[in-house]
Amino acid sequence: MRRQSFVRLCSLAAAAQFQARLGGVAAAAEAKAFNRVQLVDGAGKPLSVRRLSVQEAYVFLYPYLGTPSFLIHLPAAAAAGAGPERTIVAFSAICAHQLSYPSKEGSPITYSAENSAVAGRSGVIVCCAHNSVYDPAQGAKVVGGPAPQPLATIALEYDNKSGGLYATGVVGPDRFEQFFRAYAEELIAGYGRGQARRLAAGTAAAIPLSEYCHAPLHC
Amino acid sequence: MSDLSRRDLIKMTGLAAAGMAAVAEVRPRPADAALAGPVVQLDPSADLPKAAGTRLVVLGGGTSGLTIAKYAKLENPKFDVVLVEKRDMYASCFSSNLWYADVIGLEFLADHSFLDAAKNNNYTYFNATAIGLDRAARKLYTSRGSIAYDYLVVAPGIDYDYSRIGVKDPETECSLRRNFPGGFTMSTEHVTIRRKVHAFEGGVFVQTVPSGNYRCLPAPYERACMIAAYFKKNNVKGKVVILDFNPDVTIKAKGFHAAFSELYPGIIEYKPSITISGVDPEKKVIKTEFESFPFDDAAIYPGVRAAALVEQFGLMDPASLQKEAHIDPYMYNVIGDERVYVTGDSRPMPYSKSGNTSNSEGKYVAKILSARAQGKDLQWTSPETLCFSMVSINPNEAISVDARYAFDKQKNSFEFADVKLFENRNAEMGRAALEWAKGLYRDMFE
Ligand code: FES
Repeated sequence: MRRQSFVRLCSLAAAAQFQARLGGVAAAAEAKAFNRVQLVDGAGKPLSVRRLSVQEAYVFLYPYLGTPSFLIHLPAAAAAGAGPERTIVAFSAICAHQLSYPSKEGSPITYSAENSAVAGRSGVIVCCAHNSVYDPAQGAKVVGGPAPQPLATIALEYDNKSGGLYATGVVGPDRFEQFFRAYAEELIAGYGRGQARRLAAGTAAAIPLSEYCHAPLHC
Repeated sequence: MSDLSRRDLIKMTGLAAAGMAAVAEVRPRPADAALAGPVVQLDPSADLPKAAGTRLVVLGGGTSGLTIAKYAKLENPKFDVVLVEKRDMYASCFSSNLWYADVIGLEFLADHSFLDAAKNNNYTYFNATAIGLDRAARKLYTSRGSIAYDYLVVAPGIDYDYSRIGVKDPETECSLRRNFPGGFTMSTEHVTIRRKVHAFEGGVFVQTVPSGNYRCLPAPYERACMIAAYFKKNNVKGKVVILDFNPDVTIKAKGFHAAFSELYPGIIEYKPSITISGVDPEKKVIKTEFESFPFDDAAIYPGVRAAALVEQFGLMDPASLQKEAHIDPYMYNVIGDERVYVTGDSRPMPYSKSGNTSNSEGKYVAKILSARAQGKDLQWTSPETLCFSMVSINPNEAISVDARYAFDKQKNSFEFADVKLFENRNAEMGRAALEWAKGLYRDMFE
């Protein structure tokens, strides 16, 4: 199902509920509900928030089966953070500048837990294609380089009782349509015809970036 | 020719004298009345649908034109954009050096369609050559008819200026263009240079570096590295001699010198402060006032000027050494005419004449056009010059620079600002260099 028709199907009530779940930070931004998907580890077990490393980003495919997103465990609480300490954030991993993204072959865009030469600091998402720098603690706001807008935020929900982590939607302008067009051939080669645009549903595996792809770039 | 168009022509020719219009040469042939008439038929108008909105004509489908055509439409959907481009097949000049050492294939540079760019971004690609401009009537004349515009962007790139290497006669210039092309304008030059490199039997291959603000400052040095890498890998008994007008490598000097001495000792020979005073293409000798440099083959990069069209259309600043456009350095419009803009490598500002600069500048110019069409103002933002230079293959390793510009009141000119240099070559930048180009293609064509 294409996103447009999916969004149209959502009832207003559901949309309002989704907006409410996002809280204050996202209130002003455009929010789109997608399937509520539970994040699991590589073995398919529900992700344990406490065991998420703070050293690198994890990649999960959301809201489509061909669109990678970053899941990052920040060292300190963030305004829109999820989890028991509000330290977990997620963003689309498609660079808002010219659409570089993590594929199995490699990733020009990474989270630098340690110092980035381009950013001159640590704790940022850096795209080495043209040196765009995003701050995950501030909603992936652009703090350097040519990107015209932040990375789209993936709305997360943390279930206090079960400890489960869920992705529920996308907040802010995204680049999915341009992404599908720009990488049409590559996505067919990677996922098969018609697969990349399918909506993620049920569970999504979050894999450390260094396992997800071959040698991500640091710059 | 009808009376009407003849009158128009006379009017335009008169205006040309006043600097408002420039049209293709029209020569009656009095000897044969039947053959008398214009050599070029300027009317009728081009076969285009009536403009659905404010017509913005963008002349030139390089990095600047493609970026502006797309982003102007995004900024202001009321624009009806027509991109006029003489080529029917795109190939980028940026990244072409990498092809010489087979880091990439031709597809990397050329597998991008003008048609797709136009379709994806809701504008018209009009495959024609511009032959005249009447700014009073706001008409661009092309090989496929005239186009009326509300706004016109002229982004024709560069041409070579052989007089800057002491070549003043057309015979020598033609011979150099054909036999030892510079490799910074037409794609066909890249094909020729790659064949030269791959078919090189040994000896001296010369790469010259011009004076002035030539297109892509690091490119001649990067090319020397790519040619040397190819020689090294294929055991070609050849040397690459860089004859540089400048007293030192013009950008990323540390990174290039390290590559020359550490990766290509005995293969690359760097000679600074060489003022070329002439070339003998027959004898294959480059001359300075004091020395002669014989070569077996060469890529001779002469001086650079704005595309000749800027001069022909009366848009040139007569005081410009590189024959660049007479425009407002912040707003890009031709002085005294807010309907016509000159962008990309024909601009007079001393920005780097390179892909990333034109791409980032293009987004700003798109905003200017949109603001002007709506009677609004706009704050100046600097273009960004971010470029990678590949210095080795197997593994591919690169160096890079990332800079913006600011106006220096004391020097009364734009200078580099916020310069970040990354001169320790590494494989991560080697991979980023390829992604850099792919991003630009995505930005212009998707
Ligand atoms: S694509 Fe990420 S910085 Fe350009």
